[in-house]
Order: sequence, then structure tokens, then C-alpha cells
Amino acid sequence: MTAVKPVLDVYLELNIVLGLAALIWMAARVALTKTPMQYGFVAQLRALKALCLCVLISPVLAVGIGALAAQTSSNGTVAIGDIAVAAYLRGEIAMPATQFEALLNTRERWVEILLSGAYPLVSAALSLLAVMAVVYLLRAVRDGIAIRQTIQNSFLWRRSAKVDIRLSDRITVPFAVRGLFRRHVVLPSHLLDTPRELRFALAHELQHVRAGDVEWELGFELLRPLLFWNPAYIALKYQFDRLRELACDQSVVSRRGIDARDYTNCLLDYCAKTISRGSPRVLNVALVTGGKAKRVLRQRVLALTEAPSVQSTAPVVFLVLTLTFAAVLGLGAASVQQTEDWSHDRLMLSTVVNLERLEARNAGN
Amino acid sequence: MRHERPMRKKKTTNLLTEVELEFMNELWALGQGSVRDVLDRLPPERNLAYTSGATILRILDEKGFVESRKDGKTLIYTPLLEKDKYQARSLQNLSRTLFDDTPASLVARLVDDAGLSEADLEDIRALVERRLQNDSG
Repeated sequence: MTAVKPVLDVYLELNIVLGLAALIWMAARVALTKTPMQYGFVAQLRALKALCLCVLISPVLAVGIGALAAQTSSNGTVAIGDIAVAAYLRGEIAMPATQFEALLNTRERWVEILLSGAYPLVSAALSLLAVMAVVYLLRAVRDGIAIRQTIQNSFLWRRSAKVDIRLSDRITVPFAVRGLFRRHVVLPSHLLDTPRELRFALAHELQHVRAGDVEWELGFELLRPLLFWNPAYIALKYQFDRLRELACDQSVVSRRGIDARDYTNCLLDYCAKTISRGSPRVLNVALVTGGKAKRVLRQRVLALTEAPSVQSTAPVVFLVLTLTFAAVLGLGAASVQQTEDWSHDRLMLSTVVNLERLEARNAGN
Repeated sequence: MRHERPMRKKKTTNLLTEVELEFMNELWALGQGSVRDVLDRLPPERNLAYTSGATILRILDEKGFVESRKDGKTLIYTPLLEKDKYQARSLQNLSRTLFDDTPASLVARLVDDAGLSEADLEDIRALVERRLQNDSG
């Protein structure tokens, strides 16, 4: 159990930071609607990717923020627990010491309950989560195998330094995916019959490859078995899927001089084709993702017809946004970290608790 | 982006896609031909790009339905599979997937079709009788 506890702590902190990231993103979205970046989907996607990277490196950011606080602040900490103990010792929190200590150790107590297996209901819930995680893992493996088979049975059409373009007569919707060494864009072979649609599909999928979307999709889906239950993960993944397609459409239409109306018709045609087909749903970046993504498709069509075509964002705006994300997430990660057990303040609190207990025992006698 | 080396032969599904069948039909009619020969036989409204036609024939080559040889700078494609053999294969597949592997159901559906004329039915009768005589003889 002692070996599991640090892993569980890291996992819980990751989930809390992810929740914070989702809140930050929602706030940023509200703020962005009041700026010209409202229709800058490419910049928004880059900002979201920066935020997700900040989540991944949040332990490092927390160390940085902690070190910064140690140098600048008088009590030298940003951990909520330590701040609360200091405030309690200063008499700013009116509460019996035993009750305060119990409140302070809530997370530790819950972790112990989770690990002890003493409560059948908690154990059942944990088992259910584990089963769901295995199901998501198996789904990813199944889709991975299906994609691998599709690629193996496809025909290499063109090859560049980094990307293979392949034709397959077993798929109906174009998609981009990455293997261990190479990235693949797979197109239905019937597209050879319609050069205009072939051009749209190829431009779209190559843009995903260029933007690194296939790697991000892979990263998100590999984390799904661990984080599927967290609403923050679901919200961020939805935002990522949405912005990925909006940004890609915007780039394709503005960079390649493709007519937005023709392109939109092509998307709608493909959506109709995918609704009844059982294509792999994860690990790949498809031109359209069928009936389940109707809302995103609607947004894509509206964005293509209503949003201004080209949106450029100053690098300094992006930098400020990224630094803000990093600072807030670093602060959040540092504040939820477990407090140091044997700090001076903690010893003082422990002493007060012991005195309170002694007094209670004496009063009982 | 540059053209890749010739694709290696690959064992895949033994049925042709719609556009592949269209190309094979032209090659069966021609006996052999280049990309341009096949494209020239397609209806003008098809408006298929030369590169697309070349890719479709390359795929057929890789699938083993045709073979190619160089004639100067031009590739000449020759069908490796005869049309009647593919017809039989296609019907077997249809019988298996849509008619529960009972060819009689397939024939029954065909005979029930209102589109068949008296002459068509007579031809079918003659074919069946000839086949029965051959089997018994």
C-alpha cells in the first residue's frame, strides 16, 4: 500500500489540475469571445494545446512556483494546507484544533479509505472504474489493430519525407493516423473518381498532419482509460476535437484557396456516408466523424460560412496567454500538493491538538 | 511529394471495386491497352484525370488482376483474369452474401424478374437443358 499511495497522490493531483485547466479554458473562451480571436480557431487550438502541455508539466511548474514563493513570500509557501495551518495558528480560524486537523487531513483519510478496501460500496465503485478503464483500453487496442490492417491492405500512392499517402478500397472516409515511424493519410480509392473531393480530402488530412493533430489525438486517447471518468477530460477533449476541425477547415480554405461552399458540401456528403459505417472511432483523425459529432459538424459548417476567412494572431498575445496558463496551473498544482508533515507550523498544530485532547481527558476525569 | 517506386504485388480482396470493374471491362474489350487507350473508351462525361486512370491500373496490377509490360515509355496492361471467370466469381459471391449460399434462390429471383422477355426465358431453358444433358451424358 505504501508503494501505491504516492502513485495515487500523483494521479489525484493530475485530475485536480485537469479540472482547473478545464475551468481556465472555459474562462479563456468567455474572454476570447470579446476579442478578435473569437474566430481565430488556429490560435485558439494552439492555446488549448499550450494549456494541455501545461497540465502535463504541472509538477515541474509547481516546483518552480514553490521555489519562487519561497524567495518572495514571507511564509514561503503556496500550499493551501500550509497557508490554512498558518492562518489557524494566527487565530484567524475559529475552530477546535482536533476538528481543524481532521478537516486538514480529509484527503489523506479518503485515500486511506480507498486503499483499505474496508467499504464494499467504495470497492465496488473502484472495481467498476477499473473495468471501464480496461474496456476503453481494449477499444483503443481494437481500433489500433483495425487501422493497422487497413493500412497494411492499402496501396501506397505517394510518399514524402514524413507522410505516406495511401489508397484503400475498404474505407469510406479519409483519415490521417500515425504509426511508430511514419504518418499515413489514407483515402478511399473511389475518390480517384472525383478529383475535386480528392483535393479537399487530401488538403484537409495533410493539414491535420502538419498541425500535429494526429499525435495529439493519440495522446488524448491513450490517456482516456485513466481519465475517462473526469468531466474535465471529457470537456477538454470535446473542445480539442471541435477546435481541431474548425482550425483545420479554416487553414485549408484560407491557404489553398478552396471555395468554402464546395468544401462544406463535401463535408456534408461525407457525414452522410459515415453515419451507418463502423469505422474506428479513436486514434485517427477523420475528415468527418459521423452522426456522433453532428454538433461539431454544424459548428464547422457555420464557421465556414459565417466566420471571417483569415485570422492572424500576434505571437505576443499567444505568449501572454500561454504564460498566464502556466502561472495559474503552476500555482494550482503547487497549492494542491500534499503539505509537509513536519513543518514548524504542523508541529505547533499537533501540539495544540494534543493539549486539547489532554484537556478533554482531564475534564472527563 | 514524388512518385513512389512500383507497388509490390499484394494479395487482397478478390472482388473489384466499381471503378476497377469499369477499367477491367474496357481492358477485356481491348485485350490489352495503355492508360490512354482505356481512358479514351470511357464516356466523355467521366472526365477522369490521366493520373487517376494510371493509379487505378497500378492498383489492378498490384492486386494481380492485370500484368504490365513496357512498350517504349508506355505501360501496356493485359488482363490476367478472364471476364467469364470473374463473372462466375462475382456470382458466387452474390449467391453467398445475398442468397444464403443457395444458387437456386438467385436463379429464382432472376426468373421472377419482370424484365426478362420470352426469348430470354427460352435461352435460359436451353442453357439448363444443355447442362442437364451434358451432366447425364
